[in-house]
Amino acid sequence: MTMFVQALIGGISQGAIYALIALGYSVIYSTLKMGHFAQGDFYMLGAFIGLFLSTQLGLPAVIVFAGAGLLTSLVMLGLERVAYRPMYNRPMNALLIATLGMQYVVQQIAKLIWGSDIKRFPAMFNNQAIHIPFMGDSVAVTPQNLWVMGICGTLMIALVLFMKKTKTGIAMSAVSMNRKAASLMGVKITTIITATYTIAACLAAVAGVLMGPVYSVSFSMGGSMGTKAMTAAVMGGFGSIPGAMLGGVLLGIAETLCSLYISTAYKDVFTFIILLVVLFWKPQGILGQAKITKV
Amino acid sequence: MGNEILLKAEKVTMRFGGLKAVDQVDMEIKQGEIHALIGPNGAGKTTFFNVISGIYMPTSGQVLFDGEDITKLKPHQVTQRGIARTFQNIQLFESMSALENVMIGHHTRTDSTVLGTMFHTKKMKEAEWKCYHKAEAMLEFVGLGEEKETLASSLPYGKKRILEIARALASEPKIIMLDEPCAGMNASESNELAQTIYKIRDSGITVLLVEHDMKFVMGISDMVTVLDHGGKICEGVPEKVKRDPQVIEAYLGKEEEG
Amino acid sequence: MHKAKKSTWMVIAVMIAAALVAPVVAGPKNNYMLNILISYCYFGILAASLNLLIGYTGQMSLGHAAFMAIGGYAYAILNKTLGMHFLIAVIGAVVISFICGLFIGLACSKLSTIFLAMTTSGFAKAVTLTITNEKWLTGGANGFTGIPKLTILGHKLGNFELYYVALAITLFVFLFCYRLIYSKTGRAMQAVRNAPIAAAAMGINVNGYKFLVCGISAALAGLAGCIYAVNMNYLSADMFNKTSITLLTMTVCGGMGSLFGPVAGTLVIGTLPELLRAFSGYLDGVYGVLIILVMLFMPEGIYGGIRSLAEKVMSKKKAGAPAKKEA
Repeated sequence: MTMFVQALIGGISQGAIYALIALGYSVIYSTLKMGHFAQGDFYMLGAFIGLFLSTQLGLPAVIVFAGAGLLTSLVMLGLERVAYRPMYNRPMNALLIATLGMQYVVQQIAKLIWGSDIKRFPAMFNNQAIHIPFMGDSVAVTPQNLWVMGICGTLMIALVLFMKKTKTGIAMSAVSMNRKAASLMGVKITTIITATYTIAACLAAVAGVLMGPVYSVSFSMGGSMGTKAMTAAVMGGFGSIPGAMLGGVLLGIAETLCSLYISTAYKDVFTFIILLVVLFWKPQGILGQAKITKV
Repeated sequence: MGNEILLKAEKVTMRFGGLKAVDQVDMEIKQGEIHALIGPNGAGKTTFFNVISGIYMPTSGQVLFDGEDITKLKPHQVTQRGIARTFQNIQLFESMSALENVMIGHHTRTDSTVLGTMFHTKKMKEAEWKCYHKAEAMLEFVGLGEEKETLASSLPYGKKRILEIARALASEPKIIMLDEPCAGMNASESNELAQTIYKIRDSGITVLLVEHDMKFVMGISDMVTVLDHGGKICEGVPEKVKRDPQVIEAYLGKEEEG
Repeated sequence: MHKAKKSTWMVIAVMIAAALVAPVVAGPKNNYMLNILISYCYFGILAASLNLLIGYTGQMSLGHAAFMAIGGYAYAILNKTLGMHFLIAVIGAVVISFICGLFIGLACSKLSTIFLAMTTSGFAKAVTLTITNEKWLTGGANGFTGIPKLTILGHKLGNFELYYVALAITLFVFLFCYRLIYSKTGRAMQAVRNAPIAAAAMGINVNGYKFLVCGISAALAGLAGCIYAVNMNYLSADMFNKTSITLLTMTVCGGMGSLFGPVAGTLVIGTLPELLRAFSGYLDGVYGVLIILVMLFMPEGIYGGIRSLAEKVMSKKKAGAPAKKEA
């Protein structure tokens, strides 16, 4: 039982990271109706920038986070302007494929700047585990776990508040429901696009900085993380913000439980099977909205 | 003109969540008829079409075609039985030529298998020629013979609508359902369309159409059914329906559409 | 009935002639060039198969290299581990790939584009993982070594002869695709991509076709995998990771929705690694940039772009004539 709870904690902590990146996917899809495959690679960029800010410039943690978020957003906005902007009126497939290509472009950029070696990111939080007594045994919770859950949780709440209370956030919801109508109501679409991508990039970057010390930083770290986060987003309901959060946490828990009870090597296969099961039961994801095609 | 009932809808109801788009509609279409389905916007006409053609499964009720219960059939199975249709928002195969579009319409009657295709058997070649000629003939029938090789996406709007009809005819249907065939047409185009519909009827195919153009509908139809808010409010010959007070009230304020 | 223009047949004839003569020109012992030529063959088959899936039925599959892996490993296991004759091993591998394709076909029929792209991408990862972990079956991370060369009638085939065998298979595959596309089945496939609801209304069993094409496409990819296995005599999981991005670039840049597209894509993109040998570290980035550029400026791919240019030139001569459909 203790192992179960231990795994649960690890799973939620990992899941929070997935959720953060998944939110990026969902926000972009919900507002702009496009699947942005390169999201995972911005997570990687965030990690690298964070590493640079932290080790090369020795900046305090808060600035590292903020700086990573800001700089990653700038990069994403720049790439969006050049590559995606001209394509919004084209059929969706073209844009989707372009984001696939973008993955490799971002990876190449990282390779060019920082080389292909794996870099170590010194831990930002003290790693002394806190032992909580539980049912005769004890469960270990590291400050890393707590910080991750805390930061992710805060960001998610901030996002929800942003979407519900601020002018831009509400405008984003409007654009996601009906872009033409929103623009006729005076919403500047370019502002919305900028806002959407900035949010997605910031979230991914923060996740990158949080995970850097855990997994080490390399140009390829974005690939599998991106896939997992996207899986989480799809499971929870692509385009749904609560869905991304739910999907992320569920995926994290599923992974750790699978590692514990079944096998570590196959946990990715296991989560893939879960994805299939969810999609067969509800093709639009757990919290997603079913599409009724009008004929 | 036969008097047998070809298509019968019994208490068809279609619910989307809380919204009742079609409410307990009964309708009978007789062989050889030109039958119109009219009603103000949002009355449920296209939804009803979609139920018959198998795109939606009704929440309750039955659809009988030629004596067979087709309620639960999928769209491609419905077409195989002999019901063809056009679409309100044009659903042509845009990147293919007009001829190819119509050839696809002939799909259910083209007699070739994948294996036959691989080995270019005699049977397959014959089927292909038959399909090609049928498609050519249908294009001529609707007056689009000149546009055989033209890309569907580059046809003007009015001709696109006619192409959809040719495509539907290629499946050799017993009944053809036209969803707003007149939309966007001027007076002379509507006239040509009317002549085409008469030709279709004369060739033995029953016609069911949804239309907003009142003059057109009343001029061409043998029978008219009126829907409002999903329910049937009147049915009969054009003369009777024109004068029905409920019908007039349903259209009050929408008279500009006439 | 499809009647290709005379000029098209001439181009094809020239290409086939060039393909036949190439290894002689390169030198029968030039293994390096021969390997490249053989790679054109299996990449050509792969590109054609992916084209069937994306270009003709509109199903976005990102895991296509997985079927190549499945085919290759299935062949290796049947041929080396179980000692079956190579013909049986090939047929077995193709059938196994076909069945796996049908399985993905189930996903295809239920999911829309983005979800499908994701699921297929996940599938590819799952396959890679299984290959890496099941050491007893596949040799695991060390790879599957010692796949025997082809032996026909007692004679062991060197790369020179293997090329001709591969070329013959490739030409058959293209003939197969050609026949499939210009037929009722091919039209139905295009209908499914253009307007699935209308396609259903035309009596086309949309899910059935998606299913079938997934299977056929996977089977062809599996066949490509067999050729790869026999050529390299060695398989490993990460060989196929590289293939995915290369394949996508080829299909996208070559142009989808026509038979020449995959050919153009294979030849152009397949040659890139050679041209850019000095920059091999940047290859992925180059692919990425190419994909974006093509999507921005030439979404119909190289072949499509050339064709549009040709059409523009032609229509300048016949001013005012509506756009005509070409072979």
